[in-house]
Amino acid sequence: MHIKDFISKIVVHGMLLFCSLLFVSWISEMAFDNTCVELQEQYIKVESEVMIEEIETSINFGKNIRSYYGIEEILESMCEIAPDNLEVAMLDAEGTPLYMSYEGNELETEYTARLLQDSFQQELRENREDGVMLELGDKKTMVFSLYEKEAFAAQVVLIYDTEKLLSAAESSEVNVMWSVMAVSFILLIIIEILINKLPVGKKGEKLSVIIIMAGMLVTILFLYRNYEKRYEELFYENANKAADFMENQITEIVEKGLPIERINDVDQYLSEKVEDNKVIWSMKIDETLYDSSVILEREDIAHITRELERVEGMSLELYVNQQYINEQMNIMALTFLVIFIICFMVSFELIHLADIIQARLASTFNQSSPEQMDAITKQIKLISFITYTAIYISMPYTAVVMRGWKASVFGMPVSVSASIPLTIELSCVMLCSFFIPKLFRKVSLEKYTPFVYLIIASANVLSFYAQSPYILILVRAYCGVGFALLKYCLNSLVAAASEDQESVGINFAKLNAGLLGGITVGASVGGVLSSSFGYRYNYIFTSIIILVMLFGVMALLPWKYLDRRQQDTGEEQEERKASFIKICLKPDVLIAMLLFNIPLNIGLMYVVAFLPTYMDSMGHSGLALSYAYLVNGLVGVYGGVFMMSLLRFLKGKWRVVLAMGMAAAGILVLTVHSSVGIALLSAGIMGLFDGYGTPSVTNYFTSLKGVQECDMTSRLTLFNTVGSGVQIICPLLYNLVIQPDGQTLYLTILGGAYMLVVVLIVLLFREKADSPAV
Amino acid sequence: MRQKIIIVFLAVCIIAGILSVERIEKQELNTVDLEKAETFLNSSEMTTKPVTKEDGSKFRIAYIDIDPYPASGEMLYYLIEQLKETGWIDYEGDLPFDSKDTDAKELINYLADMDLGDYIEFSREANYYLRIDGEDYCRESLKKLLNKKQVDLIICMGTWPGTFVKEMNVTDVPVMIYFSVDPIGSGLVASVEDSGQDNMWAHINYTVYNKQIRFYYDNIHFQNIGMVYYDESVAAMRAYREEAKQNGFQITEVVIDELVVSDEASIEAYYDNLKIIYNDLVKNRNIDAFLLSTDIIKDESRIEEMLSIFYENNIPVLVQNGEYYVEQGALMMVTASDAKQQAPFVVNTMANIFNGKKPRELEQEFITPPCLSLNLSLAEKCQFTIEEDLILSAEKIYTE
Repeated sequence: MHIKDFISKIVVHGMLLFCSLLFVSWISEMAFDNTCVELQEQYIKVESEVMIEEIETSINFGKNIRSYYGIEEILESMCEIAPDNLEVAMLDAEGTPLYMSYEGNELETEYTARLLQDSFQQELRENREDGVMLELGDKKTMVFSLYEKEAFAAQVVLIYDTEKLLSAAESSEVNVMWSVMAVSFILLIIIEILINKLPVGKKGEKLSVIIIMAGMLVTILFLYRNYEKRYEELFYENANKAADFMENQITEIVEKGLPIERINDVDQYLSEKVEDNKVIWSMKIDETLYDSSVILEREDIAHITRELERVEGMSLELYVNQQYINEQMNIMALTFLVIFIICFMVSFELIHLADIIQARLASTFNQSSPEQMDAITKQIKLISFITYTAIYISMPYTAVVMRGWKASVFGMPVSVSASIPLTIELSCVMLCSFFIPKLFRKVSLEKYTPFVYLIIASANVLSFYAQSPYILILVRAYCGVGFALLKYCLNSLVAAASEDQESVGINFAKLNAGLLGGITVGASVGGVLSSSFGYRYNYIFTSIIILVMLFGVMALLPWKYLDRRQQDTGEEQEERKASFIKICLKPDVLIAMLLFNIPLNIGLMYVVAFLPTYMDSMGHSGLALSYAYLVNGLVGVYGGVFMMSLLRFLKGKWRVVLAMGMAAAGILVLTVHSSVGIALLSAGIMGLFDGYGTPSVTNYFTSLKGVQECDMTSRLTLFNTVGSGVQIICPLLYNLVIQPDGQTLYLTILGGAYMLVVVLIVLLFREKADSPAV
Repeated sequence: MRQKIIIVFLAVCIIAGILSVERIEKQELNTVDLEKAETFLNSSEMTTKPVTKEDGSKFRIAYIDIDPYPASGEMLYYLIEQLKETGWIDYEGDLPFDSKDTDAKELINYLADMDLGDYIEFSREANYYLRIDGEDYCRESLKKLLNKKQVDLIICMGTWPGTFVKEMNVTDVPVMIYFSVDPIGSGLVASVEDSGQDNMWAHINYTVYNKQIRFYYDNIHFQNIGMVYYDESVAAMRAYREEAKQNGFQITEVVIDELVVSDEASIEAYYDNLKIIYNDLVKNRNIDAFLLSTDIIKDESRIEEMLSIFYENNIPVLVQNGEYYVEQGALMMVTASDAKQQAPFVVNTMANIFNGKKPRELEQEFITPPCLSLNLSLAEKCQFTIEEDLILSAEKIYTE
């Protein structure tokens, strides 16, 4: 190997490795922090609900909320749930502060000002469910509503700092960073030595990929072990806090005058409190005559003992709910597994960057050579992967932002209004797709690509700043224009980079695999980011990635080569500039759309429009849904491409038949049973349908005689445009398919329809011909 | 070249947008928000800070009560504590009185002998027990003090003192009537919203009796409750009858003569008569619960003996006013008036008056937060099951 190539490869691999490990540490730390905050918030909610119920009982018993004697003590007890990190305010029905735990301290003016801000008051009016979380400046609040005989009477606002909630699960970011650095360095040396000894070629490349992945695995295992310990500590800490709480409750009852010997008079109440505190398994009050752990000084974390100060000789004993902790630990392990797989996917995809940079530095850059073609194919997948990751980090959360605003637009209900920006965005994609080919046919790819990325980046920055639903809809429509341009841009790239019909298929398969991977990774990463920063920040992350992507695209793509290729295809374009409408009206194209495009796109929307609702209606958890997404994405990205190369011998028509058959199987398998396993199997089959079916159907469609009247880019754009139209109606269709009573008749009909498509394709399309037999 | 400039310019704009995010999201409070908060906080502070009279002298308070009665003594005790809490008076340490057994006249005398600071003073002269001192003496003494302008505010503890002052036609000195069960029913004030006289104010807490009897009915499920009283308004009969009608239970009422003189023979005769009435209620009138009305058993040492008549027949005794009855042998009481919780409201009213407001302008209604006291031993004795919720709701539980 040339010394320059050797060094560049080492540097690129080293950087990639370092960045990958940094990414996995960052995203895992963030996910872990989110998990811990959720756990702590759950604890605060459960404990404060007990006290809030007491206030509510007293109000209904006749106490006046405006002259509530003893409220100071109650507020003080609430603050003790998270000492030094919880302040409480009680507001009347109009939102005016009545009582504040922070009265007289330095926070009084700031908190009062924020509570009285119009925007916060508006949010209070709109959120009257218990435990609603709202932002208050840089603090977070949990809001509970109080009712006096069903009439809204007051709101209790708990103000806390999420950062401080994590102090219990002390961060070890610095340790993680050092370990990442160490692992990176060791692996870099190993790579250097091994690659230097091995002959140049596939083996060496694969080895470096394996070593980077192994490094990831080591870091992940290290991280998980660390998190596991910290998470477990958090449970025991909460168990101790719960013990304090129970001790206070019992002390209060005893102080009222109930003798401890008669504590069984309130056994139901105490049992309820134990049941509410999931981390506690059981509790008893007894007289301890002897305790070996005192003499032997042995720590017993599963067993908490408290001496009851007010009752001499009696102690309170609590047993930690180990089963609950184990369950929670398992959930955390499974959640982290999803994140780690996502990190693996990201790292695996980014590794190709090394080859792309190599190709950029090579002397054959911008020349028609196998290395250049190989690099472009990898670039197409990587560009598609990163771009769609960026887009899907924010796109699915627009509806959540709308729901957060409780926005009603054009007089529609809030639930319907929430989906309007996405519908408008997709409609813009579809509409613009009709005009874009005509407008940009003669423009160089290099010239309009930066604008496409800039439009998407700016649209997402604007989405962040949008403060009203109508502005957001408008901005998302603008984003839809950018999205339509992006699709055309990527199709043009595929067309320009493909020298024959077979390479169109391969490159389109890569483009689609990148898209599938992007959706899987983007949605998952978006979920983690939104939990840490808030949904609106996802738009900013999208913009940042898109800008970085723009820089990468401009620097790494062989523009001169692509320009030459575009000029060649431009001549083809001149010959084949038939209008979309004219082509669409041809009977054979119409039939092809009916049998290829519509079933394909209905199938593609399975994961977005069907899976969440189906899993929810079958009572499966959010975690199970995450796994379904992951299985779908992984099988689609890697299984689809693998199947393409494995079944290369199959002819065009039979590939389509196989794909449609898979869709039928993916749907019909759900009629067998509604278990999580079957749902995952279905998600996997549909992932394969996506990964294998999309390039197969696209390739077959673009090779049809009827559509050959336009150039390759326009063919791909036509295919996508019709697809976008079908996708808009899919949410409605899938809502009809899911039967609330768990019946599977409509699913069977849908699966049957796919079977019918299979039969019709077999019958109507000649094996080798490009048009249907009709 | 031009295209590159545009691209760079757009990219810079987007980056600027991204970099501004932190500043925008920080949501710094502006001065308007802070001013709004300051105004709110200032307005919710006590606008009734301690003041002296215009000439710089202290306000002198006259106190009128009926006779030594722990319930009214407790009211006064917490009123004084609240005056200290809000800075109107000042003395070292705690009052040398038991809040549950305070002789009001003694407490006023104690305060009259002390220097309480710059704002308020009490006087031994303006301190009356109507039953003990006699109405005539009290009237003459008070009139004299009023004429000499030696009284700046009169506190009337109960319905009788209130009626007494009202009949004196005092119009130029503010009068505060406290611890009167039904000031509207007894004609002391016109309504909840308006006392009807510029210098008159009364604490109104009447609906609390509706809530009280409803609570007893919901938890004891009686059908016929006995009540013995000497004055309808003191016994809050208007409220109880309303609830009886609404909930469909019966009240067996017996009206007795008030114990007005304090010689031994009269007292003995009074309690003997009460025993006969109680026995009659239990044996002949088929009551299944009994409500001990205010001011009926005044002698603490007789409580157990009197109430045993009911317990021998498993009839629970509920209390209208006075937690010590529960301690001494009644089953339960939901406070109709709570000295500690009412005191801030009354002191605030007084402070407003001293700061120049007319009593008539001030709010009169303050519903006392309920407070439940239970005697579990009694419950066992009369085989009455106390539900867990009731134990948890109780503020005070007695077991012996």
